[in-house]
Amino acid sequence: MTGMRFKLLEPSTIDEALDFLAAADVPILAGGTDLLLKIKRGLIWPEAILSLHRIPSLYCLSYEEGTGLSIGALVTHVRVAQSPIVKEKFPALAQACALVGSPQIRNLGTVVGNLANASPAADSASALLALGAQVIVRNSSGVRQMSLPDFFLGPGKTSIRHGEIIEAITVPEPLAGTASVYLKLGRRQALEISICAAALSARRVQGHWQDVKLALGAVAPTPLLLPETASYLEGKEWTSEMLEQAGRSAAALSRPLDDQRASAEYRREMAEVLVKRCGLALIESAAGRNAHE
Amino acid sequence: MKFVGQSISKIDGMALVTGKPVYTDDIALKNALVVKLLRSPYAFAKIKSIDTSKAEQLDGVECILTYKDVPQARFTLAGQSYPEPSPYDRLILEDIVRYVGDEVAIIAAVDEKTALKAMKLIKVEYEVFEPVLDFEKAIGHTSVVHPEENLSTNFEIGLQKEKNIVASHRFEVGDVDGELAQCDVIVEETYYTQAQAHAMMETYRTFTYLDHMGRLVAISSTQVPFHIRRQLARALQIPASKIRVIKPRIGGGFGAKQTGGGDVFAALVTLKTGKPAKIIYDRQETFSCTTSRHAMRIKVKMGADKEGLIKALELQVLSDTGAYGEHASTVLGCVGEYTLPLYKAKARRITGHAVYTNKMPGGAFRGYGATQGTFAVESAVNKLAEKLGLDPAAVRLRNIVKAGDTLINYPNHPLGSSTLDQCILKGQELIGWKDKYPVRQVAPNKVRALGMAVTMQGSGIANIDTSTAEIRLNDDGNFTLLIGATDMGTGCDTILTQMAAEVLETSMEQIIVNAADTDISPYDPGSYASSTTYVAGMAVVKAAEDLKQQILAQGARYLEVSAQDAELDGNVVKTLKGDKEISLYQIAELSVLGTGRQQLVGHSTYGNEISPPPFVAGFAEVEVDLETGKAELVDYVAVVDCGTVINPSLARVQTEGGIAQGIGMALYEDVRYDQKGRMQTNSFMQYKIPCRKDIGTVRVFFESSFEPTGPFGAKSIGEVVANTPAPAIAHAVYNAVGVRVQSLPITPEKVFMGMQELARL
Ligand SMILES: Cc1cc2nc3c(=O)[nH]c(=O)nc-3n(C[C@H](O)[C@H](O)[C@H](O)COP(=O)(O)OP(=O)(O)OC[C@H]3O[C@@H](n4cnc5c(N)ncnc54)[C@H](O)[C@@H]3O)c2cc1C
Repeated sequence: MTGMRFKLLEPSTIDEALDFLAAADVPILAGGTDLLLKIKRGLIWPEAILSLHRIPSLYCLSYEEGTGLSIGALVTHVRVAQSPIVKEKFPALAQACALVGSPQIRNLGTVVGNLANASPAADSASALLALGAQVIVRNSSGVRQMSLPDFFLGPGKTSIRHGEIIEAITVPEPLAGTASVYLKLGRRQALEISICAAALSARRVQGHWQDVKLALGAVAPTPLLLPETASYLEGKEWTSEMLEQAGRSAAALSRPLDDQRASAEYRREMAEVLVKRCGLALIESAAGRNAHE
Repeated sequence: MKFVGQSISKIDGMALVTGKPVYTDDIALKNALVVKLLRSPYAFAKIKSIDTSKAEQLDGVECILTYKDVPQARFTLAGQSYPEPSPYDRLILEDIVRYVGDEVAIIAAVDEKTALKAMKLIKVEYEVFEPVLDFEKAIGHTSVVHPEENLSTNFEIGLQKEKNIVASHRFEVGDVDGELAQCDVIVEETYYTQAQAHAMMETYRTFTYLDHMGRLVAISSTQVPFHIRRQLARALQIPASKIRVIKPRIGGGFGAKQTGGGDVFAALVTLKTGKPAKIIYDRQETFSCTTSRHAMRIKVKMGADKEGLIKALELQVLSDTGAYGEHASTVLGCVGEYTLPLYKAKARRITGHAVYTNKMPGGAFRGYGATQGTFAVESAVNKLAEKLGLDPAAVRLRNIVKAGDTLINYPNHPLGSSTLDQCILKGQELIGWKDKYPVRQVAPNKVRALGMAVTMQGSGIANIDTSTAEIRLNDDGNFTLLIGATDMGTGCDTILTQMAAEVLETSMEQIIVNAADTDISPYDPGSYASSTTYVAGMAVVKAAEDLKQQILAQGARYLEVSAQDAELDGNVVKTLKGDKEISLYQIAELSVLGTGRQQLVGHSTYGNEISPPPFVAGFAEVEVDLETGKAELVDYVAVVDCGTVINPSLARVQTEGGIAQGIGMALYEDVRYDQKGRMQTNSFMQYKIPCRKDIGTVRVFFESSFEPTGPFGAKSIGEVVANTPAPAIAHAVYNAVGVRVQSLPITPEKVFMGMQELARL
């Protein structure tokens, strides 16, 4: 393999890791499924890379009732996808993580790495946007926290500064009656970067949908939260016409590009379809839940 | 039969899957120089100046070669029998570069890192020309890709270089225009098939060194060792007698390795330095600097009467051969060669051109033109059936060539075998045609539909592919089978051994098979054109029969009876009466010990004037999402007539692999370039081959026939299996949503846009 020669730094605490980062601007390694590819393609030629693997606290995937979910920096997609509590409380996230790459990629790749890589098509990103996730960042002066819309700046760009490490992602406890869903359109059944993706979260209160959050992937320079479309759906009893209207609104707000995977026009059309389907899926899940009760 | 027809495991299977050191790079000496190639960033340019001085000064750099350092004989990388039909249009390095990735300089260094460092130090100045990128605009383009005086061909292939035409083709039987004028129904359509990458697991690699006599030895991952020897001799301007080419285990070819890769570069370094050298193409180079399937535009005109009798079939082909004419004329010819004979129309015609463009060259790829032609012709047949209001299977049953009929390719030889009609009937039954054709709604937004296609290929190249086999009885009673056929994962070492074991009534273990080494192996063009089972197989059978007779005669002599009164029974020759016997071991020993002896060697050289076609009927069931246009393959049934099935499990994996490649062509794969001619799909991240989940259920069945001219009745299977998926899946998608995608691959976007257009009508 060309150019794959670098020094591997392996701190065993976050503070030690921050010290390394203060001394030199080296890339951080989690699962490596994005980073190593960049090195292999010759896009970056780091002298050293900083692996987080010896820091035990970063493997933590925890849930606390009333508070929510915390996803440590080394939690892989497979762990999230298979976690019973994530499946129950944050289904959109479990679904998104289950659709990343292939089993090999899900075994290595982390959710934090997925966000930090800042691809507009990152599967977990739109799900986490719709779930209102926060990014917990550590630097030498302490901890700072930001919401995802503030985190993503552009393709491959985030508001993480040199010398900072993402410690975890937190997802707030969903209010009672919340359902969520993630849908992805690609050409293959696996190992596929989305042509378009959508995530929707809302809760049903007396037949109406509240706290609606909608996000799209692969239709803008960053994963995109769509508060305008969400507010159109807020507080209503959804009909399929309404969901179609929401789809059109989301499509109009998206800013897709023509690329090899699809044209902008097709992406917009698909945004419309996926938004509607997300809505229908929530209605169906609510109906299912009622039938169970 | 004890061996033929049995699912015997591949004799090299365990070594391959347990990672034994059997491939080129495992064998290469560790001190071999590492060879890297500086490649052109421009699609069409002239090198104004090239400065290698800085790079040469780097520690560990052994040599840097440019166009100033190479022999001036043009050659072709296409591995074909002499006289090669591909034009001699390339030099090892030249001051003109004709596609992004064309070679500019050869760098040899002690290790890869140094070679890459040196590459960065080479300074090149280019004069950039306007490239020819759109193959439909190549003829008459202001840029001429190959104006050079000394470009030559071995015989007339219809080259008109000033017009960017590499090859022209025309073949006609009957009066096409006259027949078309009388047809009740005519289908006239244009189809596009894309460039496809082979995506074999092992990329190109060659290790070269000088042996104890100063001869050049090339250990190469190739399908065509003898052709590589001839190619190296011409390109390097040294006698072929000074070259030895050895083929070790190969990690896949699919036709890719019927074209030379890095052999000439490593060989030149070894000749210049006297040192061992190796070149390994990385995945990106393999994607973007070798060959792909020729992209084509095929116009079809097909006419029939009201009853569905096809009367005329015409193909007009335009083939994109890229920057060099590897396999240009032959792939073009095969578009018609393997489609026109299939339907017994009174009049049939193909005309076409292959054109130069400034893109990666086209090359040999499983199916070799037949795949492209089958997509066009079968799509047209499906459309014809619809126009006539007839079942597409019925239209085929009505028109296909049958055993005993005359094939247009061989007017003097009636077709020896075909069960294609049974293949169609069986396939219909297995896919559930009666209940499921054409379409059913399975969910509010989902429909499932069926489609079908049939195809034929050849078994070797008639009058050209000739294979020799030798089998010797060794001193210890074992046999050595010498062949030049090239197992590239296909399993031909195994099935050829099966055939020999069957004839000699021995065991698989008693036969040592050796292939291929140009110093040792008898001549064989190599494994391509679906030739090995049929052509090399027949040579092996005849050589084994020859040896068997000799063993019998020798044994009878020792038993002092006439050969008619003796028989070979496994490891002994005995009298028919059963009163005397002599073991094979004793015969072997007596044949090589003492004076006046002769070691027994069976021998045969075999070639045929016909190329019997294998057939496949393919049936696809797809599910299409009505809102996204995404088509998923739910079920695929392939019913195959490859004559006698020599090894069912190997024939099955050949079929499954071919179908998978066909599915890739139908739905996913597409070699794409940007506006400057740079390949966009140069990794497996961008170039999508179907993954396991996309293949769905592929079900393979055999309807054996008996080919009278084949070994044990066998025909070929390697290529024919790749041809049906694209037209069958396109047909199913049409039946699902009414959109005919005539330009491959069938992406969700094309289907969706097609549905939008229908909705607007
Ligand atoms: C074959 C293949 C298929 C793929 N398929 C998909 C897919 O379907 N969907 C999808 O969304 N992605 C896909 N990916 C991309 C990739 O797998 C994911 O983005 C993955 O989640 C990245 O996680 P990682 O742990 O491997 O990150 P790494 O490669 O280790 O890191 C990614 C980036 O994040 C930075 N980083 C990592 N951890 C931290 C931290 N704690 N703090 C600050 N910065 C950090 C790194 O420096 C690097 O820049 C695929 C990749 C491959 C190779």
